[in-house]
Amino acid sequence: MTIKIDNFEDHCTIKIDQDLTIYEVDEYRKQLLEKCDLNHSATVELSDEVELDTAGIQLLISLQKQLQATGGDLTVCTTSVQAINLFAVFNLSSQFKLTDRAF
Amino acid sequence: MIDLIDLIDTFRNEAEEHLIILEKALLEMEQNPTDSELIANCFRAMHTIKGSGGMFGFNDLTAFTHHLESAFDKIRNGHYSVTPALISIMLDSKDHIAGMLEKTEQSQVQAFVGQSLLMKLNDVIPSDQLADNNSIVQPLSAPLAEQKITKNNAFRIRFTPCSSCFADGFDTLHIVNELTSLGHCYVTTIHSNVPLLKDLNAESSYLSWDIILITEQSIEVIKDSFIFVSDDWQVVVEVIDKSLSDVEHFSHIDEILLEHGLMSSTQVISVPTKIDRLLEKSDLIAQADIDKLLAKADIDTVLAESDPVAQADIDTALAEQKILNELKQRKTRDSSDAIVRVPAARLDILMNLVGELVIVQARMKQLAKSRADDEIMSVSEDFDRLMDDLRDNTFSIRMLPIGTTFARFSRLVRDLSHELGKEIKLETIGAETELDKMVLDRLGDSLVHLIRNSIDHGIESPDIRAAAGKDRTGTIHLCAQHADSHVIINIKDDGAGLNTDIIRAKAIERGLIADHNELTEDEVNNLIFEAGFSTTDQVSEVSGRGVGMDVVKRSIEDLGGEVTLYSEAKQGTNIKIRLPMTLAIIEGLMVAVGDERYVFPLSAVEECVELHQDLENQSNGKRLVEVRGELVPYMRLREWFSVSGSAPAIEQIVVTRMGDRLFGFSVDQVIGQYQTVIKRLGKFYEGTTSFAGATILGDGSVAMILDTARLIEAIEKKTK
Amino acid sequence: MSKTILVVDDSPSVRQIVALTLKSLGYKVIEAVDGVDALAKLDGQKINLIVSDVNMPNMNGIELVKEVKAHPRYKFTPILMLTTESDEAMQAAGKAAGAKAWLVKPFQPAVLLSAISKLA
Repeated sequence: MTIKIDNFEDHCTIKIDQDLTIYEVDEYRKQLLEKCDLNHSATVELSDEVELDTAGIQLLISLQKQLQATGGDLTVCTTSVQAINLFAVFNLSSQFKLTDRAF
Repeated sequence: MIDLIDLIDTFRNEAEEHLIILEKALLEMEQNPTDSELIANCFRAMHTIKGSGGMFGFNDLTAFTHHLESAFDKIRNGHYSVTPALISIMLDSKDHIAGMLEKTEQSQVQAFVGQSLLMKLNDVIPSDQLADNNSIVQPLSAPLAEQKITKNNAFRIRFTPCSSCFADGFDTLHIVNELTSLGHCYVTTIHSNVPLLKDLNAESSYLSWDIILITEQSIEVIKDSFIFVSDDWQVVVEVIDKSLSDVEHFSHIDEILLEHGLMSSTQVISVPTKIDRLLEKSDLIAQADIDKLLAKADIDTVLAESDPVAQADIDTALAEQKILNELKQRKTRDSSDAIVRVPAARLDILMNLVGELVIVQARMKQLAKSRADDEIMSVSEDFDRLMDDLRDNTFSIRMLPIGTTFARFSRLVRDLSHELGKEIKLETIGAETELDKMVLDRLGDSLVHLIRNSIDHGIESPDIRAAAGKDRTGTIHLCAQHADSHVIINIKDDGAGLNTDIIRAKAIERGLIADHNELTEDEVNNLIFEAGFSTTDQVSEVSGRGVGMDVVKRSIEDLGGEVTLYSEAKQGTNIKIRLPMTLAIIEGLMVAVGDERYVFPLSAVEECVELHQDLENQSNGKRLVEVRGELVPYMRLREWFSVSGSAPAIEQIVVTRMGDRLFGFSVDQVIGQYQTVIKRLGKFYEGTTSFAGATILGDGSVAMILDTARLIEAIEKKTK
Repeated sequence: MSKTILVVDDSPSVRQIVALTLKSLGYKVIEAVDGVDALAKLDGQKINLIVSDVNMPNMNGIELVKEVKAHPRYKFTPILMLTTESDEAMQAAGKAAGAKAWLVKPFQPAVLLSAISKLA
């Protein structure tokens, strides 16, 4: 259950291939705090297979707030229909920068 | 063969005919309110629409017309008579039905309109299904009557799950989904309590929701969504619309907030700045209303320190007001202009799917051709035709008029010309010209730069213009037009034009061209697009912001476009940008190297020539080929991409043009022109700049689309 | 993405009617006859919801809830308890153990589906 985190000079990319649900959020949070440079903007890439739940979305919001605290922001990159629908149901589609482009 | 779509169209046509009959009968009834034949016509029209609507899935329509049908039934049976009020309600209803015919499911706004019409109808001809007397006007104070009402109600549902809800196995998504399924929902997810990542307990819930739900379900059904939640959740469900027939009632946000007890009257006064900022942003309220609020604030500054209203409450109230305002606008707007807002990401998914489908279609076509089966062939041809329509329609969804971008520039021109003491007016033509949203987004900065240039360097100050016999006011023309599958944008000013001599001298000094050259004026002028070229030594405040014309050129070329400049001394400068309408489809030239397939963007291809191996020219390790008497450098794709096998005796060279330079690529075989959908490359190819994307061929294999500009750059870097 | 529901009941008829109802709506169903069997069948699979009887031999529903809530892989899985007794003491014990949703048998299939849609 590890996520792939790459820190670049002014940007950080986070790739999540597995699920992003209540089962994973605590572990992911630890990994993000440990390995991710939270002083810049970041892009989270959710693969098509990822299963997302409300706890997962909350983690993304919290990560976004963390990044915004230092002037950064969060881009969520996904083509997962499930994820996009979830953002739509919660009316959060404009909360993140959503994109379908790989970073 | 008749399919469901055709049947639905048939139903629509039929319904529209009935609506015409209804309208005609209603208008005649104004003169002859007792004409039983007219009344019967109205009844029949509603009856038929109701009946067939249900068969085609127009359930909201059926429910609505049911009420009209029973009203006409009562008139027909002599229980009620036709009044002018009734006729006007029915005419509005007729317009409403016409709108509902467009889609099987009604929009939020339509739900509101329908509901308010039924309320009005109920005042004139009380319905059996609706409450039997005036109690309907006040459902809040008459809960019993409310239960009998089958019409839509608006509810506000606010809930905060207990912090352990995720750990308890409750995903609030299911509850929101269930509420959404009950009717039309406007969901606000409130995340103000979610802490920073470092302070987050990821397994606790910090979220809450504020949902406006328009549904015909009772409050019990809504509460039923929460049966399993534990006692420590905070759940509030309340009815918010008392009587939507009076839309004006809720026209101001402060009234909405007050109405729901979210704000005291003193708070209304104390938060005007916040509200007006919000409202201005969302363009929801007339300036006059803001002024009114602000005026209140001036009077009572003493109260200005009280607690501001929670942002979420304002958001929800805004949502509510937005629905009401849409409703008002809707009344005056032709329903055919209705606009559906869709998240861009969903559109992108649609585009991707269509892209895939195009590829499957190509495979299908190939298969069909390989079998001597007329039936399959004819299905495949139908499929082709539909696919082309589907593709064009889908891609057109992403097209936006360039006017929105143009609009930004009037302000720019005004401000900059003031700053520089110039008089300049901007004229735009072709604002309705459409371009892919992505192209448009990425084009903006280049256009800004070019316009800044025109203002700064192009157009002279008024006195100089007057001395030269020109109008004191300079003009910048911004013009967009379609040409084939391209869009041409011209930025033209009537300024001084470029000073070709200075540019020539600069270019020689910078080593961009030889001392003795035979370049034409236009060729020289276009040198300003070369990297590292700047005509003014003193970088001016306006156009010298570190972005050179070379960057403009590069970004336009990245979009698959090209830029050319024409200038005439004292007459002005014209910059022409030619862009493909979309980045999603590419006209390509497919080539083969061994078993590999590559696609060149057709726009970059100049011509194809044969290469006989014995005629190979070499100079300083560079391969050269003679094309129309000119030596053109070329490289072998086979070597560059390490394709195995050996080249045929006669290779083909695809000659591409980059600006005014030619460059060739030798390939085994030129297969031909190929229109295709570009698939963007994923992270795997990160850093591989020589590919613009990939496409999947009819047989399922992948062909890479070459980014010739970058490829040439990479090759030159390597050979240096 | 179809969801997987684990149905635990010692009565084959109840198990079958529940399974049939769920399958008709596209859920993937795994059946188990009691708590022990249920834990064995959980093994490693992704489960979106557990629907369990209370009174069962070997390991009853309450014990199963405790086991599931202690299982690192399944501790957050929602559990819907089905019971013939609307015994409040039993419900309280179940809730304390971590089962938050209850249905009293007999129930209409529609009621079951409505309950399930709120949980998974």
